[in-house]
Amino acid sequence: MTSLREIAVGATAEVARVSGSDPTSERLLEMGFTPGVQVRVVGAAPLGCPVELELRGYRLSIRRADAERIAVLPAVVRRPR
Amino acid sequence: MNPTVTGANPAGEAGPPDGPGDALAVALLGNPNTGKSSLFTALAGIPTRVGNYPGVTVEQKLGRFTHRGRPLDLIDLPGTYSLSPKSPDEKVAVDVLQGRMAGVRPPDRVVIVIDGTNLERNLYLASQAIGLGIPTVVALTLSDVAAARGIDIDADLLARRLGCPVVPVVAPRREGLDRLADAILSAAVPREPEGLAAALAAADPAQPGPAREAIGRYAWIERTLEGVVSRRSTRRRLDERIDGLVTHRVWGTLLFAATMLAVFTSIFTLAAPLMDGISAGIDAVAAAVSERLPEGALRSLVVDGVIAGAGSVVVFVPQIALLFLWIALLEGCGYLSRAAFLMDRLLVGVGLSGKSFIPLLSSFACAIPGIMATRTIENPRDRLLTILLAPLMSCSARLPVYLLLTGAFVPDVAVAGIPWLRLQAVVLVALYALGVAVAAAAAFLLTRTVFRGPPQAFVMELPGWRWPQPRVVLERVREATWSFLSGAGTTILAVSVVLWALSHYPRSEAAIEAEVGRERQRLEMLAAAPAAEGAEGREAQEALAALGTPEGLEAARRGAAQRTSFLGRAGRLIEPLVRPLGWDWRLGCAAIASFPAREVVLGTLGVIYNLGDVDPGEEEGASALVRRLRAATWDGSSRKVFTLPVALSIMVFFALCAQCVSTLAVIGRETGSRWWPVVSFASMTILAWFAAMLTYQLGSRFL
Repeated sequence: MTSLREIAVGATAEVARVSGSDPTSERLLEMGFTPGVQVRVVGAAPLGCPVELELRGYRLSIRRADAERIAVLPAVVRRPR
Repeated sequence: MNPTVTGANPAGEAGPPDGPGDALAVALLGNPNTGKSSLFTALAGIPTRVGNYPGVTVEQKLGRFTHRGRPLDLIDLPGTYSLSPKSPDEKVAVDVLQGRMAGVRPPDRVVIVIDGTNLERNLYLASQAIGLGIPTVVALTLSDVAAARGIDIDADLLARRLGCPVVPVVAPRREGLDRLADAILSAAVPREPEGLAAALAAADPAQPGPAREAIGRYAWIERTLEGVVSRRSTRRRLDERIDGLVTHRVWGTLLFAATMLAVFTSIFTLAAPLMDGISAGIDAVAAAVSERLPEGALRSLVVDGVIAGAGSVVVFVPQIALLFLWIALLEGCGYLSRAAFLMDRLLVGVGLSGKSFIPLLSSFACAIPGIMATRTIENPRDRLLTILLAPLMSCSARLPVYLLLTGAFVPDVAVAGIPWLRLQAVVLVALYALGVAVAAAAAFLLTRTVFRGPPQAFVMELPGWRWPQPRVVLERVREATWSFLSGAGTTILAVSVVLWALSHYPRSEAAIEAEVGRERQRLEMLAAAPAAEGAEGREAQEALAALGTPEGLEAARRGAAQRTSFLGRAGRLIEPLVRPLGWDWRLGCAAIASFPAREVVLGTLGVIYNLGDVDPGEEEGASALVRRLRAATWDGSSRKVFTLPVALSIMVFFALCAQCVSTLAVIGRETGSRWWPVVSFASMTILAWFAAMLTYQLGSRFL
């Protein structure tokens, strides 16, 4: 399955599952990464990491390594940049 | 006290349904960045107490206001995203709510603060907190911002679905505060929110526990918001554009660098006129007091000890206030978290995370709040490392030392022919960069040796852009300035007076006469030596001639008194250690005396050079201390103590040393160990000595 890490900047994907059960995965779920939610990859920091994401009407940033925990359905490109 | 709220409806009921009498304990709970501090300030005004929770160093902010005759004690809980805490400060919020925090009364009421522009995620915590069994009110903040973005929120419908009152408030404009206070007084334990239990039960049983809870709660939130919010997406086009610029690879990085440069340049230039005014005022007070008091120990204590010491504290208030103004503005508009976003990769490079950025940046103001801010870092290793690196950031206590010595001894010339790029500003930036570079190198080495382990997870909200709230910004500046004056200031003043005593006593006339005699002998030998043709011989002859005049004799007697004082003995004892740094024994004294707090070094220099040198006369634009320092010479010679390499060596030493008892105490408390403060002090002192030695040795050869 594709992970959020592989989604290009500007594309939107639908969350399928957050793997793992450590505090990081728990926090990702609490921040709203639940199955079915749409996540847009807004941008990336100057050195490519972390990435800036938009979901549920707000923005947050996570590292690429943590984005790998988030499995997504194939990306739907909404607004290519 | 809050006049608007207190004065409202004096004919109303005397108290809430559960009886008048003692103050109600009201806890403010909410996600970070929800306008919680703004609401606190609007309700309670200036906090009655800003300190720590008992036993831990998470900031506790308490306030009190009266509504309809009933006193309410407001407690501002640390921001948290959920009731299953991921960091020590989130744990404090949850412990206080559940009455598990020793020494803190369990709250009688909880006000859940939710951000109207970010309802979906904010309701996650609210859905958990409603079930705590505490009488609850929901305060809907930023509803004006939401309205301006075309988001209509039906607060009454939301209240019905949540099972507790929802009061829209606009804290900066004081709208809704009366209704909120009314709701707090009459609040009841909320009933089970509509459909929450069903939603939690309906979550996919194949998912692990935490996932089931999140899926269930978000499913409930989505249903709850149907018909409550007119438009779900809250991002504005302007927000998009600002974010696009600020987090841009090139423009974002340039903007970051420009912002940091602007912060430090403004501290250097904008504060200067205010500081000159304060200096002049202090000089005037000292002169007035000198006229009224008879010559002697008391006058010396008041003028050279108390007024000089207090002056060296007050004069730096403009700079500290200005620095905190910047921090509060950048924090208030949402830039600080973007800075952490931009900086994360760099900090990962040295084994830290972007979350260390804010504690480290705060340490530029003062390492103590910076070290306390490390509680937002979940990973214990990252947290310990950030605590140990924080004192290497140049704090505001070092700024006075930098500014005084840079202003006095670094030439005010343009660099590379660019008129606005002054050498003094470049030196200042270099000193700040030195601390950062040393910290980066230390982090790099430590994470590859002592502190091995995986980097910490990084989940950080990037709040929407908004205008900083003037009241919140002013409160931040006021609090910082006051804690400097009352906390650091009283220490500095006390140490100034103690040091005056140490440099004034014991005052043995016989010892002073003997010392002056030795000095005369030494000068005579120098003047009569075969090599007396050289500059040294000429200086010795001049000094000898000066000894013949009453003024010269008096200066020599003062110098002798200082050498035979307690402080002088200590300074002379360590002179061999500080010689390689280019320092004379008085600088050694100042270094010893500055152990309680770095900023004391200026008070010490003021006292030492005031007592030890003749009046060098007036000089335009320079403060009394600068004039003293410029005129200071090595004992028995006219060779100046303060040259450019010496000034640089002092600044480098103070950039890297751990001369601050409060910081060491906080490190001990935060790490729960006496070992780390000792490690911190020893390693930083050794580092500072070597760096200062290199600076002086290289500087005196090449400058």
